[in-house]
Amino acid sequence: MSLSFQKIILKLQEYWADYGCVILQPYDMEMGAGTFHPATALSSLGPKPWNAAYVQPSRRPGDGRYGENPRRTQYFYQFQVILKPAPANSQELYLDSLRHLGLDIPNHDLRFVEDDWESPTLGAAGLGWEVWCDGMEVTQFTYFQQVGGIHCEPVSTEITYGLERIATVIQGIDSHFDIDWNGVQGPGKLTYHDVLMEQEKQFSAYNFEYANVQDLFENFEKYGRECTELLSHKLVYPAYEHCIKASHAFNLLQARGVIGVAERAEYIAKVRALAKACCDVYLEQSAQKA
Amino acid sequence: MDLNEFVFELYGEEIPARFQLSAQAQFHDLFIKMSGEKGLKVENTRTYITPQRLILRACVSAEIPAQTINKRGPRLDAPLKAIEGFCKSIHVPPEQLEKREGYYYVTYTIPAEDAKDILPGVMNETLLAMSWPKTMRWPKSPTPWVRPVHHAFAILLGKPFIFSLPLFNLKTTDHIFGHRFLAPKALFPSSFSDYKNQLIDSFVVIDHKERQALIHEKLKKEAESHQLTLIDDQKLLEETAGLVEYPGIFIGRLDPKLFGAPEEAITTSMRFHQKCFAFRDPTQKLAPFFAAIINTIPKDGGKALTQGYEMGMLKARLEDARFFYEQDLKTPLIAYKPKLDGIIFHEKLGTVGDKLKRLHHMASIFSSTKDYLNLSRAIDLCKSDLLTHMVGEFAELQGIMGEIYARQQGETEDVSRALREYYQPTGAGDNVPIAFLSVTLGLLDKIDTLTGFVGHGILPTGSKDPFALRRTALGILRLLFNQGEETDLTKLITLSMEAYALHHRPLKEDTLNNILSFMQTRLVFLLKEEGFPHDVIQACLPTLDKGLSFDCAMIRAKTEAFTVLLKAQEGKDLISGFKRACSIVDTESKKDNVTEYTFSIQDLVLKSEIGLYAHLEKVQRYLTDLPLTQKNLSKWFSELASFVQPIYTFFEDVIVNDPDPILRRNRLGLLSQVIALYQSLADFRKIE
Repeated sequence: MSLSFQKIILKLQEYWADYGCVILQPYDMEMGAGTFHPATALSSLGPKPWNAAYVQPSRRPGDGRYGENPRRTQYFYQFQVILKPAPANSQELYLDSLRHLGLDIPNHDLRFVEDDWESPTLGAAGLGWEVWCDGMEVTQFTYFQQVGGIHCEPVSTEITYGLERIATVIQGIDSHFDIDWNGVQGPGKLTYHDVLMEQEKQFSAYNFEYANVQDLFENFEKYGRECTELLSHKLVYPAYEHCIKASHAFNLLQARGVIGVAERAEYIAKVRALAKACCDVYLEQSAQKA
Repeated sequence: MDLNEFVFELYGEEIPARFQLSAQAQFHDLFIKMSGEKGLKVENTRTYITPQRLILRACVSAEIPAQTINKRGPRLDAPLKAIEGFCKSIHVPPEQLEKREGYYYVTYTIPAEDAKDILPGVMNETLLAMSWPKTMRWPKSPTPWVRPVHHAFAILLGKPFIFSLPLFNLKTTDHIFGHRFLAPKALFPSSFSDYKNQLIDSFVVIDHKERQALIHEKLKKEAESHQLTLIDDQKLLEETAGLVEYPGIFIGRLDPKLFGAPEEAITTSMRFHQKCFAFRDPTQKLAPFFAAIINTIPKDGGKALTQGYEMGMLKARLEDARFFYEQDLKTPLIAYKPKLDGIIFHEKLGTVGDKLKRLHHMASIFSSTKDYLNLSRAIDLCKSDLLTHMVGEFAELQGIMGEIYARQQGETEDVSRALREYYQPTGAGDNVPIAFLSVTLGLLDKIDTLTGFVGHGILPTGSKDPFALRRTALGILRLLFNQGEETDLTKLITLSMEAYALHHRPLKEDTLNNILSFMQTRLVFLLKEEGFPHDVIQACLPTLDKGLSFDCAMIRAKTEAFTVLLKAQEGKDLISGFKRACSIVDTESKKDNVTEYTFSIQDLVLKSEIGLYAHLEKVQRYLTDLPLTQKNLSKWFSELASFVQPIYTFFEDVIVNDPDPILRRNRLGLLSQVIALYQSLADFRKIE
């Protein structure tokens, strides 16, 4: 019997806890990737060692397909691992985590394919790979070089598992919606479809058709102002939250189709400036604490 | 001298496939350079690369032999300070100086150096000098590199050779590792052939080319066993050889129902997104199979990975492609035209809609030709496919989808084909179209792009050419080379500038000249690539003057013709006669401080100078009626070659620097006229 979705998460937490990561909880806010969680975005800056792992539900409004696409949804789960400083055996640790999930590696084709991940809104960039399993990307593996435009010193390893993708490999199925969520046989069985299909349909409609555009524009401005205001009081964590809120508002506006090509660059620049400001204050504060 | 075998391996994390071949070459060249600089003799240097290994094998001399140096110092009568300074700089007391032939000398020996002491420095310098397009830092290493490296290996004359690599904070060891998944254990080779063979047994093929060949072989074998033919893809072959240390192969099936999209879309998706090879069935149709190059040999025969490969991303992509194709067919290409007014081509150059208006303006010079209607139609449709779902998903299908949709929607064959061909040539090896519509549309579009960017002060610099203007310029030239007459770039650019003034905004005054100089550099580059000599190319270039024509095809034709003609004896004689004339006219005009000499028939006296003049007049009259076209080039050349004898005779019989100033001035004037006639064909002064 292959692992259920919830078991996969438990096993990954178990594996990384055994390694020495603190197992955190997801950040309780809308964000596009696990990287936006302060445990990665902020903690990867500065010299303090840090090993953390957590599930992060992620939202990419533009990727909604009303539940009709078997592999693409506007809401999905990432399992995020951040190891600072980057261990010399980072790749081996990752491969062993897959073995811990029961993946019989020589029977699967695993390749590290060049991909240098970047987040223009966070000003984050790194070098690394997409990990392909049997022709499918299942993980993003990145050595962070900068966040908020600031050099990371020391460099961290970021491993971002696409949990749905991994589950389809482990369970040998085709569609995310067929994922066995709770590993129960018989009437109690819950699939991904059972748990999330309705949300997927409704949120796709919300993202593309119903989200209030006027409110979103106003919110974007408000969050930006609040972020800057809070930074002047050195409240970097509340400030950073507002930066993330602004970023999500921008993602929704894009999904609604109201942001033109030229304007897009401006919005990204604005969020990036907020992110950079937060990172600067964060570094300042952590230096003072040291 | 004895040469010892040296083997070195740097082992780390997966190097991007696209960097590997050039890194292999750099490693090779730099090792030879750094050894040479240190005086170490090396031979038969070979480098190899896999995704995880950078490998070197060379025969190195056991030592740098001792050298006796004899160094000369100051003169014997030099001031004491100079002598003391010399002694200080060479660490030798004055008593040890020798005296010879008026100078102080010192003789000293540099002791022999063991290769063991030199190679570590050579390897560190070599690796430090390597440059990667992108590098990264990681905690242990003081030096950035393409990806983290963790391990190194070296043997010299069969024995482990341990030394430091401070640039990575590593030390070489006596062992290597086999294939990461299939045979990860440590190996202890004691020679290069041992190294190579142990690795083969551990599923690592160190030679990139060998991996390519292996992949190709396996693909062909699989194709045969399924009665299929492989669709060759050299670029994909190179890429996949850079993604595996051992090329396993997996053949998967595709549901033929997924083949709803055109072949190009399917194979592009397979190649680009999934790095898979495609096949044709015996009827030449795309076969419902794909081949993936895998980094493993599955013990279960491929059962577990079949699910992922056949049901995974490839299937999803092909379903997307089919969906996009069906959606796109519902919209006629012309319906996208109004939307192009809302798409920015470039922030400084306006919208794509503006571009189309400018292309129409330029196309109006063809309004009286029979192809004009088709040309207008092609312009209206040429950018539409950019707005289709398919091209939105697979940008590399631009043009290809245009042709397919146009044909499906009933456009004429010429127009449909032009929608794809007008992008060509896109690179050095690419096809150059010959159909009128394709060539014309291609030229107009490229010229509009180049004129626009240059007209706004945007030109490539050094290594930065974000808008690919060099490639655009080369495309324009190669299109023009294929044309017959009438390839005046000046006319085309002027027309384009007019179009900008009408449909966007006027461009800077010096745009035309800037483009022509830019094009001239590209032209010289292309002609040099074809192998034409530098001086002939320079001779055939026009002077860049506003308003003067710049006929690219003619320049090339001249260069080609003259390269051949000047190799023959006739051509050589022509040049030497010309040079003789130039030499004396230049020397004398410098002495006299004049720029030209007058000439009058009545001052001709000797038979040979009259003869030269008569010949000049005859040729001038003939050439006046012979337009300088590509067809007439060899006739022009022959006419000039015909001066060889009259010039020779002239110089035999006539003393140019006659004491009589009138005769002298006249003879220099006559020669100047001959030179001027030559120069009207090409700048023969540039020929060496």
